Amino acid sequence: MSEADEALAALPIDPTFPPSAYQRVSTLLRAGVIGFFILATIGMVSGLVRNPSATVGSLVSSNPSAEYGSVGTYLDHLFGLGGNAIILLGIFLMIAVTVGRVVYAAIDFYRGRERILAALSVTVVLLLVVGLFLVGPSIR
Amino acid sequence: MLVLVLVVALLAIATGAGFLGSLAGLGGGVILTPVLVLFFGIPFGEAVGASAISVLATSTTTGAAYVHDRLTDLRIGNFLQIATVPGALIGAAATVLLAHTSYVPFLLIALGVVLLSTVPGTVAMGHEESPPTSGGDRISQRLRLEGNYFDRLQRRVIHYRGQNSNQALGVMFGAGIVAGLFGIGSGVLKVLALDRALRLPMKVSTATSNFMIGVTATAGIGVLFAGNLIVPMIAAPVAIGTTLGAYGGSRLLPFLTNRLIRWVFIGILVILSVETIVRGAVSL
Repeated sequence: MSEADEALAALPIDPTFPPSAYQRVSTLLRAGVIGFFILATIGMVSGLVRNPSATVGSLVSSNPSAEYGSVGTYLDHLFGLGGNAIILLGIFLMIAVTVGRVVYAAIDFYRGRERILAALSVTVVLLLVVGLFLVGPSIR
Repeated sequence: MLVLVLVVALLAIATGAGFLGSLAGLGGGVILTPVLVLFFGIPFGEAVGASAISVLATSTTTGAAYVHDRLTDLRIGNFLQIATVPGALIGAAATVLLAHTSYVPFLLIALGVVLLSTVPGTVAMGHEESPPTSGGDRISQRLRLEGNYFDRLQRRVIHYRGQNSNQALGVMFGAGIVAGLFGIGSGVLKVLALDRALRLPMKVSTATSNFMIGVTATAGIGVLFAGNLIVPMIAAPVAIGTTLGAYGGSRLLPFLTNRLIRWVFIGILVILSVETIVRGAVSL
């Protein structure tokens, strides 16, 4: 065990957020960023290989993600290994991980019998869901 | 310009932005948005979309490292999100109302002036390595907004306790509105709330801000998707670059002094303030 690890192990423990809670959140985030990195890289390379002569102007004027009108259309592009669809999957993964860490916090606060903070975290999760699925589409 | 050239250039620039952002508690979007608009001719909306994804990438990357090192304060970060997330939703909704009005340039100038006005106070604290621990206020005592971290440079455990919780909540709410309005993580306001109001050590402030900016960005990202402002082939190199840069920065931060991190933050704060005022003035 390194000196830094020993020092971390010796830090005073917050019963609501013991070292295992920090480890869990850190692992979730690491999995999210590795997953995103792999998917975004594959998607980017796929996009470049399939359309090497694409220009920046054409990229913006015909934003392919605007064509995914339904989940079915998006999945067709994804299973067809479309570069944009793969990149979007990576972005969705990062969003899910971000919502997931707030869910973890709500659970930890609830387990720690900190009802106020648990209620606040649940409210944050609900607001994120509202923002992603209601506010955005209502503006469309 | 070929997309291949754009991708290579963005990877390099975003790596630098992610590195600086991870040290200063920012997402890197404040650097990337003007670069995308001014140097690559990307429309403002699509540039904001790409920078919002870079904020998510920075937050997730640095979060993995800073949470592991227990520099991020999960208790304080999760508590303050109750102010930033509603602010971000209000800000995102306001973008629709304000999009076709002439208020946006004035808002930008006002924001720039507010940011600039915080510089002298932050500079005055430039000598401070760790803020003195106080008894805290009523909210911080009730919700135990306090913690410890191991400072690798000083080789000792530093204890801190939040102060001025109401003020911090107010600034965080404002940070959320700004984030929603302009599609940024508004890490600069979050660091100010954590550093100046709550009086947390600078490393804890930037690490906790980095943790929070992803959640704030997520709150407003639905609007960007709905507006078709996320262009995957622009967002991908930006996010991959910031991920690489942020990883490098997150490895370095524990070994820097709080004073140095504060000065890096002040430098970016001044540049950002002037840039915001100029952008507003040009749009008038």
